Amino acid sequence: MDRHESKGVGKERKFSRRRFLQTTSAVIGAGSLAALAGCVAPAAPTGPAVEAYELRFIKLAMSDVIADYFHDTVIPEFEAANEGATVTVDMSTWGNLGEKLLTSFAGNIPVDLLETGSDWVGPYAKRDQFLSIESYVVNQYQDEIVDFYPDMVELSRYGGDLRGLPYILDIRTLCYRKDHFEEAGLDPEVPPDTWDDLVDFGTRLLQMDDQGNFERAGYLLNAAGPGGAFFEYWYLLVQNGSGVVIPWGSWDPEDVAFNGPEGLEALQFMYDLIHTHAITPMTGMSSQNPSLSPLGAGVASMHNTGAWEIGNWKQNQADNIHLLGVGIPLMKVRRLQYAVPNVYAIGSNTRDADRSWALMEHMVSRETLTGMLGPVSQSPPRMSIAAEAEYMQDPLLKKYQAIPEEGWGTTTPQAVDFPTLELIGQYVQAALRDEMGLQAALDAAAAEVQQKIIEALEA
Amino acid sequence: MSITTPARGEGWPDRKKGKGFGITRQERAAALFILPLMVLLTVFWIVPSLSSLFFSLTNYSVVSATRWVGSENYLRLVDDWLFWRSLLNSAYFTVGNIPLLLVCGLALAITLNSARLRLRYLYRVVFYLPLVTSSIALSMVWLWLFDPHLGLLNLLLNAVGLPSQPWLQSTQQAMPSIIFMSVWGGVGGTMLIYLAGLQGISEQIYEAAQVDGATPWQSFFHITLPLLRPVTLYVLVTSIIGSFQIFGPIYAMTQGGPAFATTTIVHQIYINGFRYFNMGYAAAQSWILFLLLLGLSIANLRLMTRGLDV
Repeated sequence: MDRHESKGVGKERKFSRRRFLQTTSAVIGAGSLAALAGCVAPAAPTGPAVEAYELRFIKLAMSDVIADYFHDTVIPEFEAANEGATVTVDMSTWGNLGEKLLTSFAGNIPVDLLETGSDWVGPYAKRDQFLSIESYVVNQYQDEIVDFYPDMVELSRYGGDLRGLPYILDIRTLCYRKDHFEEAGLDPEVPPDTWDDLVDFGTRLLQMDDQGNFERAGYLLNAAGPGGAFFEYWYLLVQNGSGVVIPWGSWDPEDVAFNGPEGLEALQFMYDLIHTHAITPMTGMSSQNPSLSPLGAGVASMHNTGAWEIGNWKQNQADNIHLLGVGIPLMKVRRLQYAVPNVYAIGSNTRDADRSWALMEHMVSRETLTGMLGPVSQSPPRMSIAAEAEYMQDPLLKKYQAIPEEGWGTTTPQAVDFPTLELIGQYVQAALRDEMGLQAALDAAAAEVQQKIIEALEA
Repeated sequence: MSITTPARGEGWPDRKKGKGFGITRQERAAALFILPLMVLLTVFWIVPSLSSLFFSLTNYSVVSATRWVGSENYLRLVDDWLFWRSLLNSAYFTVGNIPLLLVCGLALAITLNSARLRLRYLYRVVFYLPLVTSSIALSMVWLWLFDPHLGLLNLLLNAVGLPSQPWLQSTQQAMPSIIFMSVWGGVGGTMLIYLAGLQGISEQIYEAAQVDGATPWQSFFHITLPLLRPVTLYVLVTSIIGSFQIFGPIYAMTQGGPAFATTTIVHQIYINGFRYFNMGYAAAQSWILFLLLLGLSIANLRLMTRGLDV
């Protein structure tokens, strides 16, 4: 390097250093000014100081109608009624709710209120992550709590304490196409009542094309994913008089029961629907129009589904709603189906439990729930809404509502979380695909569930 | 190749100007430039990696008290059939994916390196496009293509009189389907690296071979392939690492199913860490994966660099 180059490099470095210092000073100065901006211009006192506070609300994504309703009405109403309150809505999907809660608790980001499934309450309450609301309910909410379906409220009880309040009921039952029934010579007002009826009706409703593809599933099993496979099996399991864990609230690994004779019979029936009676494909059915459900698109004649089926028809083909029929849970040993509330819960790291409770109270008020559930035809957890709300006069919705009212509703056990249910679903898939024997699959799944319960107890 | 080490004072940096630790101003300047990246690497990579090693020896679950369990998590892996199944599935994916990536990438690169091919720059962009698209978005599109009832692939099969296939719904076809999708999505990257390698080979070598009477195939096997060996080594090592880390398509398309047929090791790490909150166990699985990849990479380097002047 010659002298000239060396000098040049030195000069450039000196220049850069100065520029660096100037830039750094400017950035730090600007940052400090920005930080102090709030301090140098205090607002003129206009009355008694109001304490500002913020509540973080983790909300599950639903339809745009509901999102708008919360944004435009529910949250502003609460903020107006509670001076100083700011509610920050943190949207989540079911798929990432677990991660969101994990990072919230790990990073101590307050979970002042959240929406979740009542079947999530047990595992989270077990880890002391959901706050008990028992004292609020006992001391301040006695007049209101009696309006909720008692069985649905009890599903959020852990260790004797309530940990959540329902805001919606997720009820499943058998829906069917009346026009397909008529085509097949079946009475459109008489849905199947038993497992045998299901096979008989399904066989008559089935349509295949020349190449052996399903054109129309007589009955649609939604077992394509592990979660779906579990639930389709579980519907049959509970109807056959058993359960995943018996009794429902037990945390004893020895109470895992689904690999018993009733569970085997249920899985055998599911297997036969696919392989012997061949009235449903193992792969599920898709609609050409993704906005339509398989029933709505006519690629299935019968399907166990939720009240959202009605909303789907009303939204996408209201003119055809008269073709939709809603049945009752099938009877084998017991007439049972999935009926479970989604609930509001308060995280144990909330900034202010009293204010979180106030927000929860606002969310489960009759007015808020009616405004939220009506436009999407969803089942309410409060008896007064079921009886009086205009949207609940729909006879199809009334049939759904009859399930908790008749005591035909049940849910998955408290001790088993959703990932473990999906694990059972994987074994069910293995059995349906002849990868494992039916009993072997159930025994292996039962061993996994026992292990997961033991891990949960040790955690 | 011989390297001549300069004697002290001939080419070594001048240390006289440094004030401390015997380092020069240039070295200090270089260190300053590297510092921001080193800070980021330390905070977001080195510290978390070392922490995960520590956590793998505990029952860390994020949300409850952490207890030291020593080698318990590692011993548990031995009896965890799902861990071994996921490792096997990852190996299956890797073995299926990499040869196709290498062969298709090289074939594309050679084709698109030809000066006689019109619109070759457009084709290069087209083949690279899947790599700039989100893997989740691609997975969603492929879910529709693989749909057993309405998917395009089955419609094509039916059009030529072949029966529909269950694709992702079959324990036999699910992994090959994901391999196919992965090769389609990743071949553009391999092509680009091979293209760069091909353009680094002097035309004069081919001309000399031609003068000596070499056929195109002889040129390919005796000139192109040997001279692309360092490129192939790079593609092989990075593809093995990438293949063992497959997660996005599994998460979005199959959730590890059906019947555990597509459960891969990273999917298992995710399930254990973020669904069951068994962070300590997930960390142990991560370290086993790291050691496996380290071993495979070293083996690759040794095999591929034999007789190579690198």
